[in-house]
Amino acid sequence: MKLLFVLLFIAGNAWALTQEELNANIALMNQQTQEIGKRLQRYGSDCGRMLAPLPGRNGTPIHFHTAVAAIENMTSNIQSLMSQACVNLLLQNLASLPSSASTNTVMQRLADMTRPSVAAAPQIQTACTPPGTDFAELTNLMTTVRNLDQCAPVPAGKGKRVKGRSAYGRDLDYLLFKEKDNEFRAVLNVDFQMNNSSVTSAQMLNRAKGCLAGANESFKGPNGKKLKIDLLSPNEIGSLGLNAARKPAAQVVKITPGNIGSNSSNYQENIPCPTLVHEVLHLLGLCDEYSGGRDNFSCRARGPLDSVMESAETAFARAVPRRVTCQCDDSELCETLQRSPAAREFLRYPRFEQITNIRFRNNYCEKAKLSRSSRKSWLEQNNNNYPAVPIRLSPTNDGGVIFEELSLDEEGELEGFRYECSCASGDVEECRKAAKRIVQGPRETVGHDCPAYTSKAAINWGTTPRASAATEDTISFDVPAVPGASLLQPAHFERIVSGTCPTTTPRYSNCAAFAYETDPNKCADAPDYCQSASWLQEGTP
Amino acid sequence: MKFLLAFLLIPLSAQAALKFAMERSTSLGTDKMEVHDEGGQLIIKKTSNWFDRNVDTRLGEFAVQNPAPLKGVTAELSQIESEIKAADQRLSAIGRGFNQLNNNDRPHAPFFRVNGFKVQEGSSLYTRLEEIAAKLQEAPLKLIQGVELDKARKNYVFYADGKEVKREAFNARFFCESSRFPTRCLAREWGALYLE
Repeated sequence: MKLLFVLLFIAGNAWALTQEELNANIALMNQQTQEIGKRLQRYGSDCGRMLAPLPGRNGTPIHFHTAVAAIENMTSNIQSLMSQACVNLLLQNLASLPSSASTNTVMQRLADMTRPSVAAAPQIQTACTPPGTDFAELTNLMTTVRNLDQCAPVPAGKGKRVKGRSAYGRDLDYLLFKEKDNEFRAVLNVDFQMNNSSVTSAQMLNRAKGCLAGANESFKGPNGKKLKIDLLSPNEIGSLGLNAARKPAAQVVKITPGNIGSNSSNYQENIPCPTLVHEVLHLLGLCDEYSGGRDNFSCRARGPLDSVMESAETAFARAVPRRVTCQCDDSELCETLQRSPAAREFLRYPRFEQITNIRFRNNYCEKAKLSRSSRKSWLEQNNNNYPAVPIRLSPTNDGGVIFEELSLDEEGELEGFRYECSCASGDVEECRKAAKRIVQGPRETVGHDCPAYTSKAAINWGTTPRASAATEDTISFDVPAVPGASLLQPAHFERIVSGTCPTTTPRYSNCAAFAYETDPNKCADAPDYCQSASWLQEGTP
Repeated sequence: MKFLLAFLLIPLSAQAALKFAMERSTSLGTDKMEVHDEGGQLIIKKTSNWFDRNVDTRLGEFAVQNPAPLKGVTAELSQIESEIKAADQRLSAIGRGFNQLNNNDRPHAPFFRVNGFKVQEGSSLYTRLEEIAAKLQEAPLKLIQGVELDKARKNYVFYADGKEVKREAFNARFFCESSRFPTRCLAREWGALYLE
């Protein structure tokens, strides 16, 4: 037990070092190093002068041997205070320097204190590891203490700071509150910074808050659990009055011009809500689930097509209700829609480009116009009224689908298209799965919300239902969420509310550890269950 | 055409078989500009125009039209590669590898790849690779095989052996994430175009 207290004491001291103190220490260390260098040149074997006190803090001299010990401790402090990611890069950069005894020593020390970011399949740990002997005992004790702290359940009405390493290798830092038995709230400290963008930090913060407000009713977990996610600026976090140890560090997100893509640390200035939420979920420890093959992440476990970490747009389209306003390319179409509620209803029925994603269309499908005679006969079969179901489909021999539809053109006149999708080549399994869904339904809107010859003018996520409406140049209507759909898979939910606890959602963690593995030889280390959909169902009763 | 191609392609030194890429991972695939040699000739392959400095709506395999500005690029790349290999060797002595120390904390962030070694932002080599990339991005390229979206954005024009072989109507609603620009559009097997 004594040993344990010593460990905690050391850790506590390292933790208490602020950035300012660290900077002051570095400056002092430089001064001391220069002084030692001078003495080595001047005094050689004159030990009295060589080992005389060195400059210390606030002008107070410090014993030579104390300073030497402090310089050694600096490396430890760097390891304690720096994120694992930065220590890894530091090691890489040190290795790029010309070889010398000192850099070798520092590298060895950093390596001894760190673990690789891409490890073999992590061992599933238990909360209490039985102690062994000597160093193993020490390590086990540290693991046990860490696990007990990370895995301690948060009582209702209380919160904790989640700080540590995510399953896929990102450093996490957020607040987790359990507001009621089944209701959680995760709070991130995000510092939006302008980077040649026209959108200001405050505007981006507002946009992010708006996106999350719309999505917050759709973060549902197993057993009726709910999660809300809040983004606060560093100032807002500061106003919470948390002490330094409980305050999550700000995560810097740069706002970049529109022609630069988004990632979790850089948001395009016109970033859409689904992408923004996908990126926020990376900050809470979730990894990507889309095909990693093309990125050389060949070991990545795949999520279902409607997982927010696979396709954020598809997940949003399923799980988040919205009010869409579409602008007509030509006012004649909107005038027709304004005059005719029947035309509005006819056009609201989801067509091919609304129920398929861009990847499926691009990879497997060809588009052609339906002939005038086909359109005419289709309409005649329906007594020259708009058909209630304006689509016809049939499976093809290779597992694909032929899809025909009637719609309205830009002038409000009837038109039709035929889409032929072949699963004869490419990712045959992906193609057949998508085609089967189109044939069997439910045919949910996953692509464009707006009908053809209109384009999205506005979208309000998470709104309450209203009747459709049309003006001279716009049409507005609701798109409901699929009943019961959630933006999170069960394992996503459990992973976020479990923070950095290594003993919950072990399947998710074990699969996520391979999400960015680039060595195909290591794929064999991934558990078999990462190949099935079950890894995301963890936490389901 | 044979003469033209011979004129356009840059021979690499015999010992260098360098492959250099700038990449970033996205939900629709990898945005990548890759430089490598095929039979001793420098070839540039693009799966996206995301890294472009000038407006270009072509994807696929390119030959360099004016090799002069690229003199020294392969030498610099060889030098960087040898530095990485040396670092990798030093790291192996302490039980680590260069790639093993790469981080996954920014899943969609751009990075460089030098013959299988991944170099991320924060690496002491990153700025030098950015400078190399800038030179490559400025080089005028001729499309050998791939696709071009025509100026009017009406058609995808497909090329093989430097010649047009097929056209397909470009329909933003079919190929793009949004029917209005700016948006990202897929171009069949050739990758993604970011259109303003």
